[in-house]
Amino acid sequence: MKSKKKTAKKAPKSAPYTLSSLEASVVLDIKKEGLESIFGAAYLMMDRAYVSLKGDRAKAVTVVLRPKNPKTTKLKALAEEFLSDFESQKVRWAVAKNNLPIREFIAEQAVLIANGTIPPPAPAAAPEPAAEELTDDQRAEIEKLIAEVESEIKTMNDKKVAMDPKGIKASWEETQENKA
Amino acid sequence: MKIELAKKIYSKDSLLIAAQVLSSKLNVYLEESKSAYTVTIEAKRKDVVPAQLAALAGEFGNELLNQEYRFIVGRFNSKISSLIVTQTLMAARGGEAPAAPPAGEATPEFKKLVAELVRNAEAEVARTMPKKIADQGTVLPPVKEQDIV
Amino acid sequence: MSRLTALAKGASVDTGSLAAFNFRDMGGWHLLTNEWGQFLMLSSADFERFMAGKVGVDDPLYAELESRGFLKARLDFRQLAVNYVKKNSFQWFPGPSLHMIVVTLRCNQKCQYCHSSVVDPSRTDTDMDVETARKTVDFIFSTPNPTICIEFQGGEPLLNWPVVKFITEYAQAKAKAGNRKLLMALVCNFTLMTEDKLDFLFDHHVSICTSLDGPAELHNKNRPFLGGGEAQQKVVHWLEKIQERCSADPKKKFYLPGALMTTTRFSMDYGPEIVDLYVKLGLEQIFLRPLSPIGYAKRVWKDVGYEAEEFVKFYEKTLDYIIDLNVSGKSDIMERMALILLSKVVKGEDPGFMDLRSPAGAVLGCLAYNYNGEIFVSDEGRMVDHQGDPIFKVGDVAKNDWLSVIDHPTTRACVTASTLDNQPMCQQCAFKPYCGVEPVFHYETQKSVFGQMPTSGWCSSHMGIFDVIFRKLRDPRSRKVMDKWLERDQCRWQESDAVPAGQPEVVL
Repeated sequence: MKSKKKTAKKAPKSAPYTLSSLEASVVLDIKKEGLESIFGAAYLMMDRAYVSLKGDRAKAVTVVLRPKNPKTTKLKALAEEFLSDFESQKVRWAVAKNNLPIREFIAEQAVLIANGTIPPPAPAAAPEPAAEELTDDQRAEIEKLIAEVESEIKTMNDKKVAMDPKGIKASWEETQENKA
Repeated sequence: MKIELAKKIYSKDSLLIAAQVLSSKLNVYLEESKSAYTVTIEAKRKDVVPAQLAALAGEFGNELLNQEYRFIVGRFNSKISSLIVTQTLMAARGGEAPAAPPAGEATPEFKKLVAELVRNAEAEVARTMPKKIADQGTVLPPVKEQDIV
Repeated sequence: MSRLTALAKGASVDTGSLAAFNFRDMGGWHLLTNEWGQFLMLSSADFERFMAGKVGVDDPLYAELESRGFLKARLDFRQLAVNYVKKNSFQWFPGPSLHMIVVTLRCNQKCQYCHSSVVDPSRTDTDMDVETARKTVDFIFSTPNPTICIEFQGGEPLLNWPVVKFITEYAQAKAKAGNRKLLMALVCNFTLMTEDKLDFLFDHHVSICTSLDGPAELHNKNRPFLGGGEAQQKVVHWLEKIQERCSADPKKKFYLPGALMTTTRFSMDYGPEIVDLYVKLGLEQIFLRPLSPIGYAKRVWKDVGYEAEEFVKFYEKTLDYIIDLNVSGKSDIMERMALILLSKVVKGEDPGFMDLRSPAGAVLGCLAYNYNGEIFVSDEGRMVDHQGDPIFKVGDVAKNDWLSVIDHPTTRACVTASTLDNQPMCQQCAFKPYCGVEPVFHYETQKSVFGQMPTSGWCSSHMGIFDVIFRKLRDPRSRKVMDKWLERDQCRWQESDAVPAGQPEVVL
């Protein structure tokens, strides 16, 4: 949105935002901060502010916040709330990305168990060794197993692309991803 | 009011959806250049003042962001959400063809019972229907949008 | 900060060790949940250690985190998958079990918020005729779920009593012939109840539920007779009468009537009084739920509606009162919304509440049939149609079969929109494993089946309710009461499961 050209008030030296009389703006580097976190934090401001984005998704995005109710919402507080939510978004998205293959795997397992294709786990006959009894080798084995599962899932996905290079079987979401 | 939207930020899909979502409050006109969309918004209500139009423009921007971020999240979780949607629809479907009525419903006794139930019900409806019938009017008209401006 | 809450400034985080989870700052402590239904309530200090990856194997917290799937290196994939299946059992159900039949739009009351109609009792063009009733029952029995629950709604269903009787008897004959499990329920205002009707309902195992908004001054303000007049006395009279008949016969213990209240702005000052009335009438449960601005209620929202925060305050205050009554021994009345959420959170089960499922129960769990045979994704969808927008219509009993209903684009849109993994805010919310979104609500209030969660009244009110429930779970006094409620509820369901298919059964 075109805002009225007013002289930007400079925020305190260390603050990563700019305040005008009507808006707060924050410039964020995509490669450093992550597209999803930026959009996620901007999205969460929508109950208190009108949010617009400028720039380039591949390089840097400026998030512009205009309070819905300027009488009760101070611009500085709005900008700082955004930055606080933004830091949390970075953590949330990092955890989400780290765990996506596992979530997908468990969801697939759930379908297979519910449909009777694979049996549910048998009740434990003997107690498992307590955590402190695991040796370094056993711990390394477990971490290797997790890495193998993640690699297997990636291989399955790569095979899927090789078998269907034109993406004929792709879902609508997948075609949008390819377009982007 | 004109709004410039960078193509490197916003997609046409989200523009079209946002325009549809807010279509009860706004008329939205779209022009495009190589790098940007220029959106002209016009409030449907004639008595809107500039501050209210600015708020509507803000709502439009928020809805754009809502759609764009929804696409991002949808793509990210697409495998899981597709699995859930497909699973629930397939399970609910129950099969490729509707099941045939059970054999118990084909018996003469069952058909006789049903015919009797229908007869009794229709007789009771005729007997108990109100004597005076009001004008058989139309359903209520759609509620008019109370614009939040 | 946003309604999702945020991490403390400068928090140290080691994301590498963390399994998939969501968190919430509850003010003094933190809630962790994961999509497999596990939860943990941590002190802020423990939360900080967890986030920083500083919980060693010798730490007592380690075992808790491990057993509930919060440590990436210690996940039991198969067990978490089993938890997911149990929690989301409805995702594998073969079609809807709840079928709401609107037998008439006629009504003798003019409730302030009524979604259904303002059609007076002489408008017989809004009665379901016998032929449509037959086709509706045939359609219902063509859906694949072996368990069918038919719920009569209106207007006031007793105004079309012949069709209520016909549907009851016809459905029971079909259930017997096809060996299906059938439950039937009638939702009525009690003002037209008679002994003969009650005899029929008892004889045919139809459970009965009414609306009781509270003491006379509140109920009559909310639900006056068409043309004026006070209705509450009749409701109380029939509630007491039915209870009297049930108490006299041990076989009728499952026929005790239920009552539902609708919370309007006028209810906000009457929380304890409403509960006291329910206790006095011997009702086992009270259901404190927010009113939705859908259909007719949308027109009058400025008169009867309220903000989400106002409802949550009312909910907490009234729930506190109910818990106090339980603790003091004055009553063991349960709050139904709490019971629903507790079943999900504590027992990891799905209690069958359509609105809080992912995907929602629209079509997958329930269907609504209008008096003219049109089929809708839910009763709310039917209310939208009554205001002139047919977007949630998915078929007609005279023209369509079940496959065309489940394959309908509106069905798919509702299922996709209500899958929480597609919702930006929901997918990061600590309440995601237990919550759901309602496409019709968001269409009516935000003009999109997906909605916009940061500004959604649905989201605000449900997050508020979840906050209340989790705070109560952390309080030992309240937790003890809630555990008893879960135990009682479990006993009721076990008794219900014992009834074989083909035998009439009462909705509990």
